[in-house]
Parts: sequence; C-alpha cells; structure tokens
Amino acid sequence: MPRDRNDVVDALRRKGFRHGGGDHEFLIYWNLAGKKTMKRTKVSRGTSYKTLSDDLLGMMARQAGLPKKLFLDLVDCTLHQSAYESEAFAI
Amino acid sequence: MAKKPSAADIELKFDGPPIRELGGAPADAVASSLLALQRLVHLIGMHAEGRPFGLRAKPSAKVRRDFAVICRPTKNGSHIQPLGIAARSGQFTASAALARVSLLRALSAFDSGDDTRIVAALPNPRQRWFMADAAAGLLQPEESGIQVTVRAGSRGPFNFKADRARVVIDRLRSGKPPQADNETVVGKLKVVDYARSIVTIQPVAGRSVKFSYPPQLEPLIQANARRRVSVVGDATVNATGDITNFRSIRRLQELEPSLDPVEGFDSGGQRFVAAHPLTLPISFDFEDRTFVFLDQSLGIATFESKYGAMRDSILGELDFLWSDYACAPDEDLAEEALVVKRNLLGRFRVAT
Repeated sequence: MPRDRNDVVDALRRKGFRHGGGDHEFLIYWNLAGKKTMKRTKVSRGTSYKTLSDDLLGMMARQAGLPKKLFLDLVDCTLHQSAYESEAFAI
Repeated sequence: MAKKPSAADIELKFDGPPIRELGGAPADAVASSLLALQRLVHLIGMHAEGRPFGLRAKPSAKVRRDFAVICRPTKNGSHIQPLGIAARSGQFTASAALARVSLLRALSAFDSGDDTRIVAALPNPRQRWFMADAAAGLLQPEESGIQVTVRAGSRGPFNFKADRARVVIDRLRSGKPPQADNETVVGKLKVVDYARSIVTIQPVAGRSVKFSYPPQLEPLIQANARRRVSVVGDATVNATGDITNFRSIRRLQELEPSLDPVEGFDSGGQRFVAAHPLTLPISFDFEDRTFVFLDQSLGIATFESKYGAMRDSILGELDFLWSDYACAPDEDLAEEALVVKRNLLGRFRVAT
C-alpha cells in the first residue's frame, strides 16, 4: 500500500535513521551504540514522489535490509528500533 | 603398488549369521553396497558441481573422475572392506575430502533417524530423496540376516548400521522425487522472441530452457543477447536430470557485464579514479521486479526499476559512499562501515 513520503521519512528518523551529509537523498541508520552503519535507504525527491509507491517501498526495504512487510511495520511504528537491529543485522 | 589402508579410509563391514556360515559375504550384497556408496559419492559430487539430480541422471565424466570410491586391500580373513574416496588418479583432493565428510555426515544422519540432523546434513529435499534412494542399496533384505555397517576409520563407533536406518531411508525415498527448487541454469542467451516475450537459454550441456520475461527486462535481455547469463528459480527436471522449464524464476544474473565498468566518479567537486575498473554485473529480481547491483566490499547496494538508470544510480551511490563513509571519522563508523571505508580508500584515489 503506498505511503506518504513525509510520513515514511518521519517514522524512519524516529527509528535511528538520519539524513546523509551533503546533497544526498539517503537516510542512514545509526545503531543503538551511536555508530553509523551500512544500512540506509534512498528517499526519492521531487513532486512525483510525494507518495511512495509499492515498488519504491520494496526497494527501500531491500536497502534497509528488511523484507517489505517488516519495513512497513518499521514505518508504521509496530517494529521497534531494537527489533529492527536484530532483523536487519541478523547473519 | 596397491596402497595400504589409511586412517582416512572408511570401513564397510558385513556381518551376521550368513557371513559366518558362508565364510564370506554374498557377492550381490557386496556389489549392491559398493554401488550404493559410489552412487552416494557421485551424488555429492554432482551437488558440489551444481548439477541437478534425476532418476536417469548420470554423473559427468568430471564427477566420475574426481569422486571415486577406491577399494583398498582387505585384511586376511576379514569381512571388512576398507574404502577410500579420492580422484581416479589416486589423489586425495580437497573436494574428495569434503565428499568423504558429506558422505559420513549423511549416513550418520540416516542412522540417527533424527529429522533435524537429516535436514541439517541434506537441506535440499530433492537431494535428500536421491541420497536416501542411493543409500537403499546398503539395505539387504530383512530376512537375509546380513548386517551392513559403515564407519570412519578402523576404530570407534559405527556411523551407519543399515538395519537401524532402514525405516528412515524407506520413508525418505517414498513417493516421487520432490520438485527442484532454487536451481540454477547457466547458459548462453540464444533466442529472444520479442513478440511473445520468450527467451531461450542454451546451457553448455543439456537441453535448452525457455521462459517468458516481463517487458521491463527487455533492455537487459537485449544487452545480453548471445552472452552467458545465470537463471535461478524453481525448476521442472526430467528423469535424466535436465531442467526443462521453470515454474517460477527468482533471479536472472549477467555473467558478462553489459554496462561499461566504472573507472571513476565525481564527489564533492573532485574526480576520483579506480585503481582497477569496477565491473557492473546486473541482476534482475523477478519477485520485486527490480534491477540490482551489489558490491558488499564497497558497500554498494543499488536497486532500480529501470535498467537504463542503473549506471547513473551506481555512480550516485559511489558519490554518497565516498562523502558519507570514506570521508567519515573512524569513531563514527560501525565495524562493517569501517571495512567499507578502508576498501573505498584502497580502491579509489583523487585524479591528478
């Protein structure tokens, strides 16, 4: 189900994601130890991306290291940051 | 000169009242047991080489050459047959050593009757079925009274007692072999029917495989015409072990990259060049309908819905990785990010 881009960005920022430096469109995950990890997700800019389609959400999920369903749980705040870490960084 | 039994040998032992009465083992019991062990080792070799199994599938000449069961001389008056697993040339190669370990693990798992151990030793259901089917050659008729056992070396407990494993082996090989899941076909992209969106792949050996593709994939197909690609999916396999078609496809992966390699990129107003060009083998994920390029060592994970956007997206990602990881202070970075930073700094330098 498509989601509003601002809602997604706000939710991810509450879960430890921070904007990358410079003029990039990436949100980078900083872990609970306060370190920058390799997990990130690209947030498309532009007026045509105010609503993020299912396909885009799928790609964001893969970058964040989660299956799409869990990524949507993360966005909908039913998946906590600690649970995200254990899911996304599981070997 | 014949080699003497070594500690690495496996022992195949025949026991029971008929053996004592006959003063020897019946030839059919010996032959079926040896053939079973050779078949098991061939299956392990076929699996190691990524060859699909089939009821009439024969091991390739390479598998027969590299995965042979060698009968060593027996001790005088003994019903124990020492066996080695080696290449036909007699070399105890790394792949033969791994085959020995896999064989003993599979036989021990069958012997235990514990499903968890069996699945751990043989995770692929199709492989499990064929291994159990081959191991059935070690089971002598119940009324015969012949006991067949296998153990690693000349001391210690037996890894496998045929009578103990009979029930589980019969259960595992009951019914038809399960369908082949997650199989890989590597071959040349031979024929493209653009009108019907059907592509034909010709593997080096075996029959060609046809499958349909989504319109989105067409640019990648065009770029790879007559080139080698690999396709992973749930396959239908005929009795000789050839993949005839795919029930569903997971991934198509380029083996000869069609995009120009990355020789450099721009970041922060500077040009960075690669110590050696970064090749870009692109894959297509059928489930997500996404083009993918991953390079874990450099931290690149690019996903795009259009093939044409991949190169620019990868360059954009390198720009991002450089500014956010290569230039980041070490104390800010998690362990895996530090490794990526070191790899980026080792691979790229400022253009002079």
